[in-house]
Amino acid sequence: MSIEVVLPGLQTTIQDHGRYGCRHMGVPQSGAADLFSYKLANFLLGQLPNAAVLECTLTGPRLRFLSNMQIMISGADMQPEVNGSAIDMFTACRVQAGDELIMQACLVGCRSYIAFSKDLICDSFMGSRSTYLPAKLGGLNGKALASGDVIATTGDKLQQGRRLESLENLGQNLSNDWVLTALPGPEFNAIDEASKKLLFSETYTVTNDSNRMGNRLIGPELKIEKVDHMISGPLFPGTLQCPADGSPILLGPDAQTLGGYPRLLQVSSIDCHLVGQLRPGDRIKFQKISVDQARQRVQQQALLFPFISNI
Amino acid sequence: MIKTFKASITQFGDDALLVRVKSAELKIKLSEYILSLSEFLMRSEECWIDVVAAEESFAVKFNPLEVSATSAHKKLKEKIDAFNFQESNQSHPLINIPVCYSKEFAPDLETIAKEKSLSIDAVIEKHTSLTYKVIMIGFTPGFAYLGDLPEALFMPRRSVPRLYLPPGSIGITGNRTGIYPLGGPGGWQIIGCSPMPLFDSNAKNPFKLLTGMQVKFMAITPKQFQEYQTPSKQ
Repeated sequence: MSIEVVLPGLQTTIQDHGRYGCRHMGVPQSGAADLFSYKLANFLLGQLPNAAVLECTLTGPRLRFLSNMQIMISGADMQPEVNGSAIDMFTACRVQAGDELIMQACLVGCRSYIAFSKDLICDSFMGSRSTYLPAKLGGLNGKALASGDVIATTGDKLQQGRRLESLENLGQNLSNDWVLTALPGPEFNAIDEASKKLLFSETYTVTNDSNRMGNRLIGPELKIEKVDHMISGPLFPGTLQCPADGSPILLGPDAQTLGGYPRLLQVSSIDCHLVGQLRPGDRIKFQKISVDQARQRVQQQALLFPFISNI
Repeated sequence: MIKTFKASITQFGDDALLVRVKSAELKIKLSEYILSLSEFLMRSEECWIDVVAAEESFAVKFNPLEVSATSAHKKLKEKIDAFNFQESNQSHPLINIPVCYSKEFAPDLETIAKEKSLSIDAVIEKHTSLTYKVIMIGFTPGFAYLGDLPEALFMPRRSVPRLYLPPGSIGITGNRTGIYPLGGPGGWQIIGCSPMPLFDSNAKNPFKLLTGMQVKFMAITPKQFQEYQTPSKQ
């Protein structure tokens, strides 16, 4: 009753919905970087909403199944194959003991999710099994998977398999050119008028200095007017903060809980999961959205994809 | 007591609210009030997904499918008004933290000394002279914001944060000093490193420092630093 890691891929970690209620101790949210794809995979498979999955980054792993189970893959397309035959994403796939799943590199998007009909047995910290690499929390000893690791599993936990009325946009229109809706952040007024215009009109590019904690962006330099010392304040995944050098950082699921650089934007809750699909070289435009417009879109999404309300 | 804390609520994205709190009280009282209020909110109201306490502000996250921003705002205001802050009379222990201020652990020490027209020894002397209070915990697991730093050491954050600082790095910024318990990025000016682990996920209580505790730094040599890291065989 287990899964063997033959090759780990670039960075494959166990993730679930994330850690909540412990940010006051400095413990980040963590969890799947693209929560939409994560919830989708568990939903379509009939798994529990908070089941642990594997999050694959840029290049996926090679896994050998040591017992029969079902799997479901969502997110970025890493051309999954079982025993050399391509398998469909967003579709349950039965695998037998001895079968091998091989995933390649994705060309668009950054992260792929593998959900399992069995529960993954791994470490839990403060109610979540999500791997948080900096403090070695959750997952297999808090680390990314390595060749030779064996993930023990328990019996099948599937509820009835579920289907969606609309199968459109399950890949969420992954792209290398993103439009992320965002609201002005608490220190939006720290930048000058020209910079405010730039931020909502120009293109920012994701650099190699990017991981689950944050994505450093480059683009037209933002001029911070107020350079007063700022007392550290709350941050969330999706906050765009900007150090004095004018190059902003877009925070991800492992974002620090507090920070003292001006918070210029907050990506809307409707687009926050897309931050988990950004890859180095991708281009981003930020589009202003109001609180009411964002809520309308969340409600529309929930009608199409009822599982997004699973928290 | 309630009247001494004034809270203003603003939107933070479409699914969170930021509350800035002002008070004539001492800074440490303010952060204790915010922490205690945050814990009260986490316990009392289901519509809050998460509450993040900071020093002079806190943020609450809500699910926009369950509650509109307007009614979240209203609920939050009612809760803040209803909150009865009980000051803790608990006395907090003093924790001595060894720090090596040697050059290899302190990339910003020389610059700070020059900037402040102080000798390196004088900077170290000032940093170790005071007993600090843990004002808050945040940033990464167990990161303690300590204050207040002697005014002669006030420095801004670095204009470009470093991508990696080793665990135990001691930073300063503004009137705060802090210890990075984990390796990772950071924007504070680094003046030393402590070999004492401050976060252990396997321990019964993973967090060594808690808000309100007292901290004093003790300068140690690089040799003592190594010895601390290599536990003696007993």
